[in-house]
Amino acid sequence: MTPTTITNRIRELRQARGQTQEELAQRCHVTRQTIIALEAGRYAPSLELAFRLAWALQASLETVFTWTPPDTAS
Amino acid sequence: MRSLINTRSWLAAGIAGMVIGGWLTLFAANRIAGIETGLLGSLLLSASSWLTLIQLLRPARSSGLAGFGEKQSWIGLGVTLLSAAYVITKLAAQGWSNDIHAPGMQRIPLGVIGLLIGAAVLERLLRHREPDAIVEDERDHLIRQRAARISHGALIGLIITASVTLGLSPVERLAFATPVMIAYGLIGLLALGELMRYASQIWLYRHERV
Repeated sequence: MTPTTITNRIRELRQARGQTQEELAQRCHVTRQTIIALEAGRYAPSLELAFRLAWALQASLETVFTWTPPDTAS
Repeated sequence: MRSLINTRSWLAAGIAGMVIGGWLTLFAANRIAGIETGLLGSLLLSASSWLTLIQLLRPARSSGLAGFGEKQSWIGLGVTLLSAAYVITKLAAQGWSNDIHAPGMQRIPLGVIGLLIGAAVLERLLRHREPDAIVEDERDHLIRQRAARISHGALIGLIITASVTLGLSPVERLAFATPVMIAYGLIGLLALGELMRYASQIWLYRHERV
C-alpha cells in the first residue's frame, strides 16, 4: 500500500469532548471499528465522512485532519 | 472461579466441541471403544452448536475489536471450509462414485444446503443482536470491494490453471474426470474463490490500510 500523508487528531479531539468511540461512531453513522481504524491511522475516510467527523467533533476539517505534501513528507 | 467461566471460555468450549463433534462424525472410525462415533459426534456437534450460538447471542458488554463485517467473514470462511470438508469426505466414503442417483450421493448437496442455511440464520441473528447499531459502513464496503477483486483474480488464475492442466494432460491420466467429478471440481474452484474472498476480507480488517 502507498503510505498516505493524511494524519488526524480524532482521538485527541474526541477525548477532549468526553465522547466515547461508540458515541462518535453513532453520530457519524459508522461502526465503532471504523473509528478505531481512523484513530489508529489505518483508514482514510471519504470526503463525506471527513466532514461528518469534523461536524461531530465541532471542529474544522483542517483541525481534525492534516495533510503533509509529498515533498515535505519525504 | 466465576471469572474463569466467562463468555469467552464457553465460546471456546463450544467451538472445540463442534470441531471434535465434526471430526467424530466425518472422519473417525465407525466405533471407538465400543461407542458409535457417528451418533456421539452428531450429539456433540448439536450441543456445541447450541452452546456457541447462545454465547454469540449474549448481549455484548463491549462491541470488541471485531465488528459485524469481520465476524461475517469468519462465518463465511468457516462454513466454506466445513462444506468443502463435508463434500470431500462424503465423496470419498462413496468411493468417488459416478452414480448421482445413489442415496449417499444425493444427500451430499442437501448437507451443503443445510450448512449454508445454518450460516445464513447465524448471520441474521448476529446482525440483529443490536438492532439499532450500525453494522456496515463505507469501510466495510471498501474492504468487500477489494477482497472481491482479489478473489476474482485468484479465480481467474485457478480456472486457467485447471484448463491448462486438463487440456495438456494425456487421456489415460484423465480417468478421474467423470461428469460428476468435473461438476464437483467446478464447484470446488468456486469454493476456493470464496475462501480467498473471506480470507482477504479478514486480512484487510485486521492488518491493511484500506
